[in-house]
Amino acid sequence: MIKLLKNRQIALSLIILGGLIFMAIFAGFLAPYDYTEKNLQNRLQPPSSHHLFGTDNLGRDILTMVMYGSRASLLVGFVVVSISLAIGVTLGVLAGYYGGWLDEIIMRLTDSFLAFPSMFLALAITAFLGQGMENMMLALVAVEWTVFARVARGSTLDVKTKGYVRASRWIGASNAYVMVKHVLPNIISPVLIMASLGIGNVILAAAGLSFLGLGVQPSTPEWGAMLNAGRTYFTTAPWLMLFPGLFIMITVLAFNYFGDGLRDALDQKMKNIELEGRF
Amino acid sequence: MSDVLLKVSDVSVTIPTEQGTVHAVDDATFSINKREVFSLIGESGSGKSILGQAIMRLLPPNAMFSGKVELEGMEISALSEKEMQKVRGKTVASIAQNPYLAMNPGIRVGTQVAEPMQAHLGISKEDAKSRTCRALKYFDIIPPEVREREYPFQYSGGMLQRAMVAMGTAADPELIIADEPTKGVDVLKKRNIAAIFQKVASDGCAFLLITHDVGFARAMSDRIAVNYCGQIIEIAEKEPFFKEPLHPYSQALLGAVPERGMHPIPGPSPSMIEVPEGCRFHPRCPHKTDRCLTNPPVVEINGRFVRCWMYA
Amino acid sequence: MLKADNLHYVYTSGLIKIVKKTAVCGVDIEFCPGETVAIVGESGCGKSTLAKMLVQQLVPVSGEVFFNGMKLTGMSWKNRRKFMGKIQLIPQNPADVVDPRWTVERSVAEPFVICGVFSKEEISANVDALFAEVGLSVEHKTRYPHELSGGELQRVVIARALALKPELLVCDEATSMLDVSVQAFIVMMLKEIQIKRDLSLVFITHDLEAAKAVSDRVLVMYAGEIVEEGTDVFDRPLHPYTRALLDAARYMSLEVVVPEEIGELPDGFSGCPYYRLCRERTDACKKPQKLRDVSGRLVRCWKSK
Ligand SMILES: Nc1ncnc2c1ncn2[C@@H]1O[C@H](COP(=O)(O)OP(=O)(O)OP(=O)(O)O)[C@@H](O)[C@H]1O
Ligand SMILES: Nc1ncnc2c1ncn2[C@@H]1O[C@H](COP(=O)(O)OP(=O)(O)OP(=O)(O)O)[C@@H](O)[C@H]1O
Ligand code: SF4
Ligand code: SF4
Ligand SMILES: [Mg+2]
Ligand SMILES: [Mg+2]
Repeated sequence: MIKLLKNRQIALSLIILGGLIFMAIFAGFLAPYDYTEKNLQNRLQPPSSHHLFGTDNLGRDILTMVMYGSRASLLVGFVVVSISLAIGVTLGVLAGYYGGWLDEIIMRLTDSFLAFPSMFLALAITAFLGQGMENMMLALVAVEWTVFARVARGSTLDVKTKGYVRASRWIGASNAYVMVKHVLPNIISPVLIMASLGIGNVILAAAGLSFLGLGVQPSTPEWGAMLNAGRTYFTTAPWLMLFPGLFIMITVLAFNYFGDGLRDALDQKMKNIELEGRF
Repeated sequence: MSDVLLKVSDVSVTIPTEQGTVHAVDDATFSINKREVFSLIGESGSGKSILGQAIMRLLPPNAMFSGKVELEGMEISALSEKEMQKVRGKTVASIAQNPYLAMNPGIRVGTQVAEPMQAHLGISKEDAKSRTCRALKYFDIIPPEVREREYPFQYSGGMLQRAMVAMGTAADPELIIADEPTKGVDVLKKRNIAAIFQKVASDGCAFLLITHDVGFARAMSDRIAVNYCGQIIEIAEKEPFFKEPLHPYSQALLGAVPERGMHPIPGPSPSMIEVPEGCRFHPRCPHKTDRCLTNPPVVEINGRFVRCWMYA
Repeated sequence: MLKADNLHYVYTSGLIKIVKKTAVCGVDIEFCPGETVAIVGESGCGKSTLAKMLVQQLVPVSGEVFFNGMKLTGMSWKNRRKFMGKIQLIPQNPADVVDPRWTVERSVAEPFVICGVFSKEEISANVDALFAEVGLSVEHKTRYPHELSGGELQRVVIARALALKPELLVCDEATSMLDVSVQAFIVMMLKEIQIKRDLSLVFITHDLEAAKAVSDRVLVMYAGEIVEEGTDVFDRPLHPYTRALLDAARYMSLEVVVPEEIGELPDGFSGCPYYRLCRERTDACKKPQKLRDVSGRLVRCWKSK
């Protein structure tokens, strides 16, 4: 773990992500104003020393909104990815490990989910279920889990043929034991990489859905919803869209950067294990 | 001594672990001449492979290296990784201890055997392939045209070992570091390996032969070094060594061969972390005296080197 | 105790062009309790394949394996489970047994954990005892497989195989990466257990001297078949292949013979598989050879008397 931090890419992205998470958790202390506080006299103020990021059409402080908005975005990212990871990895490991008809069914299922463009699928589901945070998350899970299922299945197929998996079966280990103790730890690194890349994607997608008005209520602070609200004022008050957009970008990039770094570091680790076999 | 090929001076390797620092190689000093077969025998876990890895600069990433390795007068321990890559495979080839780990499981054996030839001899793909087939056939991996297209898991242990030998000897290197090249190979085929080593050696290649097979070392080598607990404790020409090993550990080791009835050396192997004070063999040595609790000197007797107080 | 009848194994590979390769061809073996058997033979002749079939890691293409009269082949995994600890294999590649992401201590403890009747303290005491038994110390316990030397890893695998107190232990070149002293130490340790518990030992090895020193009975394999079997094979080899093998071992230290260009057997050749290299071959060898009893010795060559 400490070795991972030596990787500059990982360290930098972790600092940014740490800052974002800190901001989300302590928004209540950090934010200069209350996000419900409306002040119509102050509406559409450009950035100034009072309102660093300016104010919106209802006179709310955008910095405050952005800070509170990070809560919704990160929450959606983490929750959606955790649930998708749990579902996807479980199904993927089962499919890969048992093979046969189970594999067939699960893989056809992922194929049918993958047949639609992901945004379209999410749109369709939220449109069908109606607007709201939970429904949006549900839609995003429906899109995300297939990624994990595929990765987990592929790695499981690989691990399954390894000697140590067979070796523990031969001393009487049950299939469940082998899957939990041997297969999971050995497939976890590609899954973690996918997860950190996935959080970025989910945040982006959530922002997109909210922008289209299918996500959270416009009154709750959320970056995508803020973009949506700022749309009409784009020419006159660009800061309404600029700052939430900037934060979406930073967050997504940081997660992707983190995922890439993780991949490089873990690849390197695998190489080192192999390298020693070279002698 | 212009014909020195490899000169290893004061090489030490330590590896930190949770339990403490492993003193895998301690102060190794020796040189290998051109065309010479230099064998390294000794205790399991005494740092033989790590010494080989140190020369190839393929140590575990957390290992600490100190000392100097010179190849034909060039200090390879100071080269950059990029320059070292050119040395590896071309000038120095290695035959790894575990062929299952050293071979890439996803690439055909023939492709892997041909790789060093293509990379370092500058020959065409077809040439490399026909040479590979000839090499495999020589090692009785038949029919070579079929076997060449198989993957490592389809080989038996000994076949993979032989394929590794074919790979290591293919590209006319100047030094081959062979880590137990004969394990898993039957006696008849061991002779093929011995023969190809001798042929390569007569073409001007030197060997660092790490082995547990005392008979093979005896048949092959010009000089023998014995390793114990991270230290080289004896270096001698082959003939006098097998006639009369000097160091008590060498004597005990040669006494443990199956021909003499499998008598293990009494006492446990020493820890590589808290190495015994003074002479590292003293807890198990039948000749130990009080002075053995201080570091024994390396004594030279008739061109042999031995690290023991008895000869001081 | 363990008995195998007429085992065959054929490897099939290739997706488009299916290639079949016979690895083991009609082997009958029986092991008695407390007996040490050495299996020697050409590299690639199917020894490891045979070993894997004996311990049920490979399902034979045809033939049966019995353990104390129970037929193991074809038994379901659930029923076989209680025999699994009793028949253990130390495979040729030690890295094949240990999970690269587990410490070796955990790998050795795994058999105890799986069988589920031991408490944590018992497991750790047992694991410590096993490590000591194979000559490893505490400093090796918390390492990962790639942080051990070849011989140390091999001993970890031996320790693991001993965990469940097997009745039959098949060692597939289990001491090939050990120096002669540690090798002797391990063999003596196994022999001690053998005396204590009537353990049957099977050594698959290329070290003829070691085979001679430890075994009660020797099987010589060539091209998937047993070509010679007996108790005094090394003193009085009958089959031409055994003789060639012993000669080679004897003269190893004297001279090295460059192998001559060797021919290949014609397709569909059904005679003696050693025909290709045999110095004593005649036309009569082109017929299939049977394992014959020659004064208490089984030999697969019509010439031996
Ligand atoms: N990555 C590592 N981390 C910590 N210790 C290590 C590592 N690799 C090797 N060691 C230790 O270094 C010592 C020397 O190992 P090495 O592989 O050189 O032994 P060896 O002489 O080749 O033995 P063998 O004949 O058994 O292969 C051993 O005690 C081993 O446990
Ligand atoms: N998984 C596999 N797929 C295809 N062929 C295989 C496979 N495993 C082994 N073989 C082939 O089966 C034959 C016998 O292999 P086996 O491993 O049993 O030999 P062995 O007697 O143990 O040899 P060694 O002494 O070299 O280990 C060999 O020709 C080998 O190439
Ligand atoms: S120095 Fe002493 S203890 Fe060491 S080998 Fe020589 S006599 Fe034995
Ligand atoms: S049957 Fe013929 S070819 Fe086969 S071993 Fe006997 S003499 Fe040689
Ligand atoms: Mg080694
Ligand atoms: Mg084998």
